[in-house]
Amino acid sequence: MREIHTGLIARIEGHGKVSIVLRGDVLENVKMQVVEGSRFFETLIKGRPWYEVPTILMRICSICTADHNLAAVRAVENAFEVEVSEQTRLLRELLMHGSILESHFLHIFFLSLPDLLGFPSALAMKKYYPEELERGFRLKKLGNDVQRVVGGRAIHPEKSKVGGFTSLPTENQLANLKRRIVLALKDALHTVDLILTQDYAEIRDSWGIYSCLMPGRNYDYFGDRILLGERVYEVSRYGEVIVERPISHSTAKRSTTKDGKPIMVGSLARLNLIWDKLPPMAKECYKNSDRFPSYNPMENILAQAIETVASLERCVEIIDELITRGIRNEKRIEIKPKESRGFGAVEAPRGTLYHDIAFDSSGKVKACNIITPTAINTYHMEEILRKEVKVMLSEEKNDEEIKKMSEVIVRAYDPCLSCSAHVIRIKE
Amino acid sequence: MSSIRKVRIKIDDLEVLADPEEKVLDVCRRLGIHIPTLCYNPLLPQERPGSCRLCMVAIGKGEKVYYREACKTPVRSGLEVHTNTPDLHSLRRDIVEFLLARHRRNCWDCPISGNCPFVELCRDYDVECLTVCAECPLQGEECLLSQGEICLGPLTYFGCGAPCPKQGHYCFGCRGLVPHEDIIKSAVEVYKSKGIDLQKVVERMELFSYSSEVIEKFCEIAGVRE
Repeated sequence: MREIHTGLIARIEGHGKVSIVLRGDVLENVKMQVVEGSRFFETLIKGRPWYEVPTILMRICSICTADHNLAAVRAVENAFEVEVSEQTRLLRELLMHGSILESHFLHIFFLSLPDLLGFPSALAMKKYYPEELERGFRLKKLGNDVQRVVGGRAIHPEKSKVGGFTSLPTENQLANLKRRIVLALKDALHTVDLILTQDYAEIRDSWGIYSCLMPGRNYDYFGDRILLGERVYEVSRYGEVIVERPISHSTAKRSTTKDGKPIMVGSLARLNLIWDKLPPMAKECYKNSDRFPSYNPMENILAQAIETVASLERCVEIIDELITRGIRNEKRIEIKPKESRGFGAVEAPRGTLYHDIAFDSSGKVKACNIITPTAINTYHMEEILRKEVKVMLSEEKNDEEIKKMSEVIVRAYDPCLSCSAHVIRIKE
Repeated sequence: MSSIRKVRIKIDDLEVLADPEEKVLDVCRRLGIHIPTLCYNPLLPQERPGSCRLCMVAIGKGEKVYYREACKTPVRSGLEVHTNTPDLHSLRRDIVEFLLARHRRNCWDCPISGNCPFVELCRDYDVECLTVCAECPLQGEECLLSQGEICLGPLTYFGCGAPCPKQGHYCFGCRGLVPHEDIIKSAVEVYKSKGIDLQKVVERMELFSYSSEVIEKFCEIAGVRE
């Protein structure tokens, strides 16, 4: 019996490693271990008033801050039956696209592209791909700036509150932003081309169970219904889509479908399921790439690149609409707390994020459950690794090659392991 | 030298003979009396800016005391100078605070910045605890406290540039609370004058500084339960 350990995987968010257990030459087990300490967020918001919930919960992550914020905001609004104005809705969507741009470009240029181009790190690419690297920095900054204008800060957008925003961006700021976004579209299209010309490892996901939220009219990352393959569920019934149980070798819970199959969420899942909602340019990229629907998790990075094009297009549309409507100085909606339970879900860059919060009659949190996209993806990762390691062993690859390939596979999912560490079971 | 008549002045109850050309600061330096300065540099041309105002000294005695910059005040006969009184100390401390409020504080925790005279000065005068209010541009009616929001600006370490109050969002103390008794006392006064429920302030402080000493001290001064 021997074990192959990858050690802590570099170039992902959070701490995780892959352990491969072998008996002789036969594969016994593959463990995707999240070694991040428990975060206790679900417990530490117990007893806090409703207006602090988004503030606390968005600190779960420093990359998808806007997504956690909006998921929590939507959960609180869902609980207290608040309807926000059209302007707030548009601004929230803009904030969301900012977060998608920032996170996707970070992953594409600095975490995954070095794997595809064969470099040990993004900085090592500087000599051979200086333009690409510079483009990466520029595009990521744009994502941050969209969040800064709408949310008030590049991370942890404090302006976004339950019922609306504390202050609104000026039309001038939005117009400036739009100018930069239009320029960035060309960069984003170049990025798609760059990724299309690379070769991926051929991996096939034989289950092909994908899930995402059903969007409204546009490709907007919000939704009140969940798509699981062909089936549709209300967000409040998320427990039927995803079944979680704690496992011994990881601080992330294992999420499966009801019949125990792994689910994949994220860019690839979204493109496979709701590609017909993509804006025109992104749809063209999607069709021209000729790779979709794809069952290869390695193509997640291509899906992300196409999504950034879609987000940039939507940003332009939203800003145009906001400017034609004119920014109205709206007050936040007054909240009347009551005893209830709220569900909020958004499509974070890495997949569907669920916040489920129960309040008592004074508006204090009674119970909370959060399911993050990476927590859903870890089981899928594990199963794909199990399959691939078996193939690699039959091809008699050495340990170093197996280790390297495992890391590449894990990285392709763009995991955010620190978010995924939620091991507490909440009983109401 | 002997042709110039010397004048007799008194510095910290010490009778001194000085050149009428000299300024008070020069005499003090000659005698080894320490007066803090930032803008004064003997290598610079004669015209002294007198802009840091740290070399303030007390001139006169009893009720007729007035404060002048030592670097620009010429010596004259019968001048009575005090360089170190409690009033002067608090005056200089205020000046350091004002300077710090307009200072980029990025270098503050940098280990290389150990020889920065300004940082040393701040440590000497115990000024490392300015609050977010010092950086916040909202004044009077605009102040979030006046609008009834429970803002922790008066209690929180500065250095962030007050991004939240600028965006209309109350400060919730994410940089940590200042453990200085003066600051807590003045904060309690501010909250009382704005008619804000102190119990709710404590609740908000717990968000980022749960069970900190500052909360204990605040409760003690404000007379509320934890």
